[in-house]
Amino acid sequence: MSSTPMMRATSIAEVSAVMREQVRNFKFALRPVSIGTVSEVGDGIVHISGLRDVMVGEMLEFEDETLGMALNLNLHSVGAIVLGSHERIIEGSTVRALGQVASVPVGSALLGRVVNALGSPIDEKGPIRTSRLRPVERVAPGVITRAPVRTPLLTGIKAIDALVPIGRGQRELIIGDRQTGKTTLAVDTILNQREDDVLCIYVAIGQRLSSVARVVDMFEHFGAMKHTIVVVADASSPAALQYLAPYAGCAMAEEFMESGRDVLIVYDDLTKHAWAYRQLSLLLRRPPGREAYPGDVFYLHARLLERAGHLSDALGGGSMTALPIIETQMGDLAAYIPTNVISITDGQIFLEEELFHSGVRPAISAGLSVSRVGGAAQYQALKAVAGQLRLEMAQFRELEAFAQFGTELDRSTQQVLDRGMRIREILKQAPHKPATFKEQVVIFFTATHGYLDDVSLQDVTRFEERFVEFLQTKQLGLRGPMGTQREFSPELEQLLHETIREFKQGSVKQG
Amino acid sequence: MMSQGLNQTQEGSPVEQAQVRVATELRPDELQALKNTLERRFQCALELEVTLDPSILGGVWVRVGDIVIDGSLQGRLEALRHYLRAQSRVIVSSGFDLTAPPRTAYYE
Repeated sequence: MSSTPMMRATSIAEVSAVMREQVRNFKFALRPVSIGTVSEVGDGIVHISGLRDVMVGEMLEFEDETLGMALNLNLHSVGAIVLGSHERIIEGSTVRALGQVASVPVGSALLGRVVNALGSPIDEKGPIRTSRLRPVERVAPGVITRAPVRTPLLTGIKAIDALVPIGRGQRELIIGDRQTGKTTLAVDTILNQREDDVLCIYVAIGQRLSSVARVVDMFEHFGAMKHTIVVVADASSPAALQYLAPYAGCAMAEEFMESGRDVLIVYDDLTKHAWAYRQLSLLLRRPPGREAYPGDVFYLHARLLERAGHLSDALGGGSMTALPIIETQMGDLAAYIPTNVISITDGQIFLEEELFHSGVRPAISAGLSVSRVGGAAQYQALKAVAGQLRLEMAQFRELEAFAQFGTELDRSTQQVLDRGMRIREILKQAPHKPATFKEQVVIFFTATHGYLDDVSLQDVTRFEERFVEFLQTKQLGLRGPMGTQREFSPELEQLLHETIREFKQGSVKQG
Repeated sequence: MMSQGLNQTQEGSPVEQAQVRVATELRPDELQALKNTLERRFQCALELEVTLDPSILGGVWVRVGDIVIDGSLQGRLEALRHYLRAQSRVIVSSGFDLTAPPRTAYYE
């Protein structure tokens, strides 16, 4: 049988052979099911009488085979959300409890696929063959099952790897106004991962389908789709599915994590997730709180993000790194949902609209972005050069505002400013062009050791490009994250000095 | 879960109504056998209310309180149809056993 029997079968004989096979595999189990009657329907919410033994989060099935999920258990009724269209569900119809909490298919069969919040494929690449399902809701790993975050996850984005390094198992929030490059950062991080190293899951919540299509297209184009699962609950899908999608993606990630793999999961974005949950909660008549969000909106995100982490070696040593995305309005970090998620995560990358429009892209605010655990996980060589870089950037920022008045500056101040402007220039990066570990170490080293000071500001980018080309012909003993040598030895430092001088002499001759 | 529900049923009233649907008329001994089996299963006295429903094609359909046991031929065909449709989306080789425990129960 081919991998996609329903799609590939061409003749009637083949189709009937497949059908016969499937009918043979079908096992009928006679078991008692709990049933109820729909008493009220509307806006994706159903109130049901009966269903006495139903569990919270249990899957329900309506007469038209639409699935639902029980959320509110009252004395005489059950409030449920409809995971699909509620239009064909009518009052008085029966509802069956499926006896199981909501589950999704998991496993490597999903890699390269685009699925909905229930794990059903929506990419027309045939059925997904897997052996396992997992409940979408799960209690996060406990304290003793976790290991500290100690392995870096390289994003390939220079500004992140240098200033706000991310470790495997970390939760790093990407936050900023609309159109500031939040999704681009997350997508580029996925593009920088490799199949044999980190598996990726991209969860799109409440987004335009055109945006999702563009992201999927990007993954396909850069060959990242083979190590990626895309979970989609677009803006037109019911709020119930938008609510469920991140948990479904998380369940898929957990399966890989527990088999010892490193996983990266992107939730794009949790603002819309909170909106979907607010809608459901209000319709379920749960009391509204601040900004009309229900009382458990903090727990909504906390229980999701707590499921990320680094498992101890006894449990296989797998990890789940989460990059939730939050959209702010007018850069307001103090709004309800942003403060919630900031306090849950291990740091945030704040993207500033002003920086974005002044050409600093990625528009990462160096002052407001932090990584609370990533520093411990940074490769030693990168840490050595990035530490100096961070320091010089901080000095630069302090003086920059002051220097705008156009006052006469003494030489040392001017030098700090010149250095800072060059560092800012090398931290700029075009989208979808990840920088390797080696390139990053060398270019940061070049900048912090003053080798760029005599390069004019406009030429920094060109210098960098040509230098990277030059490096590709060189063996520097810096074999990147998968190599063995990540230490920063005096010999390496000597070698770097020589290499940079050699390149600069060469380029002077050429120029 | 299920047994808890059944206990409640038992506590609620000593004699429960059981709605039974059959496709063809049952003989008295068949009826008695069904009653005995159901009473054992639900652990309470039952009063059978039998209706003839040819649309179920064959077998027996029983409802006691909120619990339904669908052993009808129509129900089986329905389940098969459901299964075949699901197969065009996600094929789970372990069947539809959603109860399979997670690989590592680290939260216990």
